[in-house]
Amino acid sequence: MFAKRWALVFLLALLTGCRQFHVESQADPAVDFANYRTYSFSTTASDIPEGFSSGHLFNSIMQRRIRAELYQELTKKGFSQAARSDASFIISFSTGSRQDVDTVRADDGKAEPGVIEGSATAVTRGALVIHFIDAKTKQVLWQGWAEAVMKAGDDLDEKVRAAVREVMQQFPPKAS
Amino acid sequence: MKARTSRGLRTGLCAALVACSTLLGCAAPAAFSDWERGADLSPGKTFAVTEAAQLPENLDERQKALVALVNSTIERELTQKGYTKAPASSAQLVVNFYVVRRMVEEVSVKARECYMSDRGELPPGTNWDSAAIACEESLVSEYQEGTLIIDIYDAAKKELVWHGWKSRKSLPSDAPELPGVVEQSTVDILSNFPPG
Repeated sequence: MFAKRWALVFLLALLTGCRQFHVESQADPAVDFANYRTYSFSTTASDIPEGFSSGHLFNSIMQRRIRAELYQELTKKGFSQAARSDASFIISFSTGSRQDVDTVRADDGKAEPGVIEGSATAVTRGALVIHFIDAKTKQVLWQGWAEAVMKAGDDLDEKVRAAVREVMQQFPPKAS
Repeated sequence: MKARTSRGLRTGLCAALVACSTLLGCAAPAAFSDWERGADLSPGKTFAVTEAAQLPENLDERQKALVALVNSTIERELTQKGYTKAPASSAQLVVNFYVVRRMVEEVSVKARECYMSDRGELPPGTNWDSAAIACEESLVSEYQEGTLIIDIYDAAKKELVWHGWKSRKSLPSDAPELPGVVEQSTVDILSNFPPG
């Protein structure tokens, strides 16, 4: 029984330690997405969430990878890539990272600055942000983002493509 | 008390095992790379080392020597791997490098006097696992990290096809070990090239 319980903890630690995304999205409730069937990619990157910074990993290899995965996902959903002048919405995206110190105890404010009671670890969180923007009005129609703990040696190709797929599961938004 | 100690020891050993397993599950080498899947980076191609636009102008003599060291190390490593040096105008692969710096946080966990001795006897029913957490404290400090980045471009397509990097604590520019560290970092990064 004891061994089984720890085997389960071990398995969970491996799973949560290596792959897990926190995914969210937000849509303009006034938008009818049936009117948007064609898209084009923006040449400028999205703004990334506060606290994250875009580094050397958001290079042209990464950008081509995200475009390719978005193309695949949108094609499956019936959207078509078009010239900028014919597109009904524009896609911009970005990736970034942020360093956090994760603690196992809530900070009670009693410790000196730079000291945390209990065990703590420094972790790097990566974020992918995708914006769909109306080609004419330039208003954001929909935005989705994924966040995950990044590990040294992560397969970036696999991880980022998986993040794109997870975010795109939330598009188009279900009518409320 | 003996039973509690034995349980605590068992719990601690299992927690350590889980932590080690997690680390082993995600273990990785010290230098990393990302590349265009499907790109042909096989040995036999010609290459040229050029100066990256990201390198600052007005380098001092020490910095110029480091740039020359990295460039010659790249040439040596790629030649050993079967690539052939060629003029930049005709090379199939164009290679350059640059360095970025950032402040990063480091956490060190150390044992400390257990809270039980500070707060007296814990009441009956206290969760010993959570009480034991307070017997550690973590110190957070910041340091400057330097990252050496090597980029390889497909000259015909004018596309970045391979991106390798290694990060470590920055050394002072006059540190005697700096050239050795820079050379070894270059070797480590290129140990991941070609991928697969």
